[in-house]
Amino acid sequence: MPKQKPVTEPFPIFSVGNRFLLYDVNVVSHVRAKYHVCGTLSGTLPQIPQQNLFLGLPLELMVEEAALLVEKGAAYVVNDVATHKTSLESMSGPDRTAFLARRLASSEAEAVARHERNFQSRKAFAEANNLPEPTPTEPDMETRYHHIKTNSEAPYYSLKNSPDALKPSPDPAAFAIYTHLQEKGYFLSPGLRFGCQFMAYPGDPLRFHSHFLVTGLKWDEDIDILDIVTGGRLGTGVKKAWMFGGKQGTEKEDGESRVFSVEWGGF
Amino acid sequence: MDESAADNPRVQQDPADVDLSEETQDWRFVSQLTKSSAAGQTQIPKRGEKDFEPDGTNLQINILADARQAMHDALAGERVHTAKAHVEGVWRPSKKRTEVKTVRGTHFKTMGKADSKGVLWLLPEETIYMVERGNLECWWEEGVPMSLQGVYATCLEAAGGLERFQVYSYLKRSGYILLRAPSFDEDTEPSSKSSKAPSHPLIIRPSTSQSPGLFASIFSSLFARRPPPSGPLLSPSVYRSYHSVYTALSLIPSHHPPQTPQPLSSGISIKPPYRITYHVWKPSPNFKKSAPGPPDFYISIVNARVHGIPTLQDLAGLMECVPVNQTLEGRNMFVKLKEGYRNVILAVVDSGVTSFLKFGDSGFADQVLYEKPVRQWRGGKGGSRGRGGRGGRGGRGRGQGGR
Repeated sequence: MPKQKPVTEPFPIFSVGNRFLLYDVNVVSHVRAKYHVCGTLSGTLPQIPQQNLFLGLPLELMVEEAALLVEKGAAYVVNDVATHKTSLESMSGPDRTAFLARRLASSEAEAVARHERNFQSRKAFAEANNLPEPTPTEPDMETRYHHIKTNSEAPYYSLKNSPDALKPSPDPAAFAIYTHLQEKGYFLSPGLRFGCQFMAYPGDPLRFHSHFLVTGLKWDEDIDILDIVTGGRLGTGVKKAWMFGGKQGTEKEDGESRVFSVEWGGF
Repeated sequence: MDESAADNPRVQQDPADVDLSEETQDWRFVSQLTKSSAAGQTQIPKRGEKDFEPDGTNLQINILADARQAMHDALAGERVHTAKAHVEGVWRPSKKRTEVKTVRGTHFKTMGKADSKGVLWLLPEETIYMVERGNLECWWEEGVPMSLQGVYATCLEAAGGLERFQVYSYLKRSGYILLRAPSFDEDTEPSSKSSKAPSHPLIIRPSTSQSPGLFASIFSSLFARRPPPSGPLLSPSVYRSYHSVYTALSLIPSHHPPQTPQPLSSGISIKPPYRITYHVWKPSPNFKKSAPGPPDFYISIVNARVHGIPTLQDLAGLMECVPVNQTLEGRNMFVKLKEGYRNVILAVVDSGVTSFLKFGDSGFADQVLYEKPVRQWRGGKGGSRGRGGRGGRGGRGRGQGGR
């Protein structure tokens, strides 16, 4: 069973086309446990590729999630397209040859070891059942495995020492309510399915249902009474409450945040 | 209603049909799924086995830890294939395609395109999908195998961005067959000449009038045959049936979707993002890449964070790229209204979460309700073109306003 490896902070968030991705399973587990950042898994799970219930890496972070992790100093953003390009260009010929040789050798060694294990178990079976001892065979290299790595690594991939000054830029009103609820211990996820900005979960969405449909507003923004009715009815219809809120003051200042929740009362 | 029960959208949905992918799953089920699928009986996780809120008990904490560990284990799974099933490709940045070295496996029945020299080329989205499910090893031209991360960094932009790829792979995982639509490339911005509104955005005429001739404009039909401004709506006369009364009362102009084949627009003249992105086919063992036949679905992919609700003009533009569904003729009214004579599926993506919405070009005014009582509806009688409409309602509204 693969143990979770400790993660050193700050870790890289990989930006491709201004979307924020994580490929390292340890980082995925780390941000979930420590920062309540769940992201959305969007890749195909190679073990069971023909279904959509359980998805695999990469994990896409909402722009708010990426911004929060950067703000807390836990992560920095890397332009992954440019990094791959420059690292590939700067890789030397001998490095590449050595890398490919290492790769082949480990794959062959694995095939030999597997072959040996199979042989030993057949031998043990024969001994236990008083059968003639099997004759040893040569390992068939056609059965060797090709491993496709999830993460890019040296020598064809190296992160620069000075990180790019890339910054996720979320919508201020959405980000204000996102950080506010994060501080309160909520887990937030994209709200598209319920017509809001975020879904708020009281605990890890793996184990808990969400309680709120969240919409962030500017402090002085007018709220249409129809929106309150719509939000309230929509939330109550799916056994949740509609929540809206905002933060006083400008983006930088530490203003007061206030949130309200609306439920449809059945009198 | 017996024969139409299956067609009738108003019949209550079976609770077994709820979409489980709508919520985060408990990953402790994933091991069951992989184990039991090997034994031939797949167990689908049930919904609603989650707790209301954390209560601080050890039981809850332990279950959560187990679920997280199960998720970690599943995600740590490696992409591996044996040398026998090994498929290798090289990404050619100049062509934005992957050159496949050895063509093995069933996936190439629906993916890739061979050129005149017999070399098979994979599109960038096909490349990422194949690597992601562990069926392809893709190499850079520099002679280095790509990691999954490398494939995303290299091919995602050419695949049209993350949202498009997410929808592509979602549908591929469900078994659908997808090919790029002619209007896939967003680079082909509409030229200033053709960026104006589609030539016939909507066909609007009073529902009583016959469809205008080829050269008759929309407006002439609007102003024709109006009752005198002071009323009455119905000229004093002898009416022998309700039909003729209702027909005379239908005044409100309404939309009439075309029901016969129309010239198709390639969609290149439409402004992004509301263009057809993919043509989609249901899975079929007889599918041929070279002769796919008419698509089952037309999909347009948009980002919920960037784009707003489509305007009427956006939708009209999309509808022009879709052929009229002539198999609807003879189906019951609810099917006609639900499906629309043409329809487009909009895939809306918000940070990795996708919702599919169907927009249909339905002709409410073509489905006359007053000809026969609703209860006796049988397929095949409805929608006689150009007669009638929602006469009752339209007429009343008009009458009050005109006092």
